[in-house]
Amino acid sequence: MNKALEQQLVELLGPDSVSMTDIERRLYAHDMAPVPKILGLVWKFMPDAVVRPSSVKQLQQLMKFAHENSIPVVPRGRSTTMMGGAYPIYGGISIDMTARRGIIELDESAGTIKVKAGTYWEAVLKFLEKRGLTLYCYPTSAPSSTIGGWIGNGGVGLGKGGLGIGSSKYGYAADTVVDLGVVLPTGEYLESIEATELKAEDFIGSDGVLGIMDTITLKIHKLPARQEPFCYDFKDFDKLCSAVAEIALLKPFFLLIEDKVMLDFKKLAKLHVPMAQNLLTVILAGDDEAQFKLDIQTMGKIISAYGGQELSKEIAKEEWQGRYYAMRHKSAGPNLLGGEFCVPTSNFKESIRRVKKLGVAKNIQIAIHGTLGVNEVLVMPQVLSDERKKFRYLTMMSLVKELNDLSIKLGGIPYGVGLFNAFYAKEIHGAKLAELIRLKKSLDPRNIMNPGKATHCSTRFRITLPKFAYGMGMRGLGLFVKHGG
Amino acid sequence: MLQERLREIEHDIYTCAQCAFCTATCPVAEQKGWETYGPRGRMYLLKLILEKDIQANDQIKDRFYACTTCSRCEKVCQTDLKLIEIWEDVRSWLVEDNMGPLEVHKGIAESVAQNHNTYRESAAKRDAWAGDIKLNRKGKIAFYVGCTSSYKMQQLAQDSMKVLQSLDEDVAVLGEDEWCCGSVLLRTGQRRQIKEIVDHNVQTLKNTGAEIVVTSCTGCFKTIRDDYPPIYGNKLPFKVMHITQYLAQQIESGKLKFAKSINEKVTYHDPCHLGLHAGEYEAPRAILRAIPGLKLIEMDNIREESHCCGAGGGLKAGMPDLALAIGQVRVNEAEETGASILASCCPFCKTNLSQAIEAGHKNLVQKDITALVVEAMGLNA
Ligand SMILES: Cc1cc2nc3c(=O)[nH]c(=O)nc-3n(C[C@H](O)[C@H](O)[C@H](O)COP(=O)(O)OP(=O)(O)OC[C@H]3O[C@@H](n4cnc5c(N)ncnc54)[C@H](O)[C@@H]3O)c2cc1C
Ligand code: SF4
Ligand code: SF4
Repeated sequence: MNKALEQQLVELLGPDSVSMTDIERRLYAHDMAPVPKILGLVWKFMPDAVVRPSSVKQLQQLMKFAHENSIPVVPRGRSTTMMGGAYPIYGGISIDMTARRGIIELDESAGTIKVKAGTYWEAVLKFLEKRGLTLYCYPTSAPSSTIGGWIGNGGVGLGKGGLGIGSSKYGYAADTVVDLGVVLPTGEYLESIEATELKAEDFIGSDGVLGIMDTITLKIHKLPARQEPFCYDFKDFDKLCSAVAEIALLKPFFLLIEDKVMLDFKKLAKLHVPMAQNLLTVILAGDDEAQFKLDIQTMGKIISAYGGQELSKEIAKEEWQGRYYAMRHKSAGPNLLGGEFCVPTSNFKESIRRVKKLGVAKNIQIAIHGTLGVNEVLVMPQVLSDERKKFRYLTMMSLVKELNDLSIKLGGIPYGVGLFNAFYAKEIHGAKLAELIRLKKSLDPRNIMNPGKATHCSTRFRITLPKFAYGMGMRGLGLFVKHGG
Repeated sequence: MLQERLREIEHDIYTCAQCAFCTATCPVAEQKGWETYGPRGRMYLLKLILEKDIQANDQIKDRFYACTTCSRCEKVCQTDLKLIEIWEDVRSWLVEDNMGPLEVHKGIAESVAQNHNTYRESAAKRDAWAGDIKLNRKGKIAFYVGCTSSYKMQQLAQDSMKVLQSLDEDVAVLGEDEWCCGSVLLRTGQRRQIKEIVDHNVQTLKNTGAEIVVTSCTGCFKTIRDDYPPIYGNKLPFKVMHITQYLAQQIESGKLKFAKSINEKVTYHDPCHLGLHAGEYEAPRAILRAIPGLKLIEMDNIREESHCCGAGGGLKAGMPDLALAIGQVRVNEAEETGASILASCCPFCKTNLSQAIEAGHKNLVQKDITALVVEAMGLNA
């Protein structure tokens, strides 16, 4: 079967764009998060083939072929997500989109830029900045993540997508997208989704289950006249949380929270950290000088009302420059295990109180990393762990579920959907889940586009797992390893 | 066994976040595309080998030799891994297992063992480049010529010597006693001869009485300055400078003066071994700015973000097509500046960039900075 598949793919795409080697396929069978091997019993992560199409025509031919033969396909950007969205669970074809990269058109008068989906965010940013322009928002993985990958990423759900740098001022990933060029599961190409009955937002945050985004048109604007980083130290983390709720009203460009435990983790990793208890970094940006000054004054008042101390501009600049390096302390683990969830800004303080309580109950140090979103805070509580200590690692994985559940109780949601959070599809996509399922059925009748993701969670035998089984599974797996291996 | 050796870097293997910052900036990954050709992919392959999911084979060897050791990956690494050390260690472990290096690299090691140079040339002719230039064996400064300048790019050796002698008569060269610095051996994981080479070169350089050793090759510079001390087991008894550092100092002190203008636009390519590895971005630029008439126009990716020429790490010898393709990316960038000269200061960069210019029929000439200095000083008359 594989020889035949190879031959057919090579015929379609040429030999340089197809790989069937064992080592290559293994590298397309994972994302950033280490997945316990035992899950290979439930799912087939290894693709049968990896392809790197370089034109939309190739993408169309490929999808037509997959559709005719009912072969699962998984679009993949750089696989820098952690939810299992970018690799197969039923084998099939992994489509590496990074050969589709480059800028197609900059239209300054319309305030847009059209790019190929496999282009890195940072490449687009650099291109724009050279011309005095910039993007509204982008992920903190900008150096390596692709435009299509972030726009595809489930984030806070269908029609909204991810949160990133700029979101606290300008909105979700979806708020920055103007149009998409999409190859549908049947191979049909829609050059401008907005010119059809479908809408761009139908695809944003859909984890590639509806089709392949080939081009993306993003909104752009002039670099702000002023942009300045500020950094504050808070003795009391509760008060930092209260300050965040008020600063959020100023719509800063970026806001980053790191608690004392996080700074301790960094010290453990021998990183240079500022002398501080709990750190708050805020980037203000704007064109109106008078408003900018007013915002600085208001922020100053909020900070002093909650007992924060301003740190030097050098520290603030370093924190801003380090914005892409949220895992720099990873060597202290060497794994970082944790959750990623959103809570309404008003409930941020309470969520942290509960996370810390969970840490006390489990006798583990949980560090807090948080960034401000639109109406929510994206929280990444994390513990140091070690995947080589298999039993402990697996049992610690149950923490992920507890954190997710905690966020839901406070009106929040787990962040990102993919495979592992598909159990929370209802909570994350909300009312849009029904729409996603309807679109999936009509656009992908053979269920070949990234099957088993985003809408529900199923095993390689296509048995849908209910959420409670997931929770049990996380614990049960630990026991299995203990007794079995 | 590689699998056992990997325990030495086990913590690094598990620390790697798989964030792909490295792969997104790697010149080899840019050309090849596939994950296995990028540094993130290679870190994952090491994990698979360590966990006995796969075994080293020819494909794995190929991936680990498809690397210029440019260090871009290390510069951007999310978790501050010492990736160059990892790449070179793994290559040396492949060599231990008789899996590495590539055939052509073996030939280079044999040549170094027999002739003390990488080109199968006669060791006795190491001074032949000098022609009429009078050479000394003692001096305040020692010029370490390097294999490429000694045999293949003799103009560069002559230019370097002319400038150095015009500044200070006391310049020593080692002649037949100059052994290949061992850079290619270290980069390709062939460490067997290295201790003997290092001890020999350090001793003979010391015997010249020189306080400063100047090199015109950035590979020799990086190797002697950074790789020698731990192998030698001590601090080196002299200071090592790349010729651009030395010349920039002489310009600054007013000792080196220019007599002519070069009315051209120039762009500068940072050699990885001088820039990314040694952090020297300024000296070559200071020279270019000081030469009357020259106008320096920078490329988009410079200094810490500089792109590799493609020749390093044994790639030029091992996978010449890949090296050339990487060089062409850099040359395209140089062309976009509108400059007529693409300057650099490393014989490896010179070879590859010149070939890339030719292959792409570009309206550019590659010139070494020392050659430009000779021209502007009027020494080539
Ligand atoms: C250091 C670091 C920082 C991060 N910061 C952020 C952050 O600020 N915000 C955030 O949301 N995430 C963040 N992430 C997670 C992740 O990097 C981003 O979501 C990222 O944008 C994913 O891009 P990718 O190219 O790696 O996509 P992938 O992981 O390859 O894909 C993500 C999903 O999109 C689908 N997909 C990919 N390409 C296409 C396409 N062309 N058409 C259709 N579907 C497609 C995939 O099937 C998958 O389901 C971070 C990760 C790291 C390592
Ligand atoms: S050293 Fe250069 S070529 Fe080698 S992996 Fe790193 S970035 Fe790629
Ligand atoms: S940048 Fe560093 S941490 Fe990230 S994938 Fe590469 S080696 Fe691993």
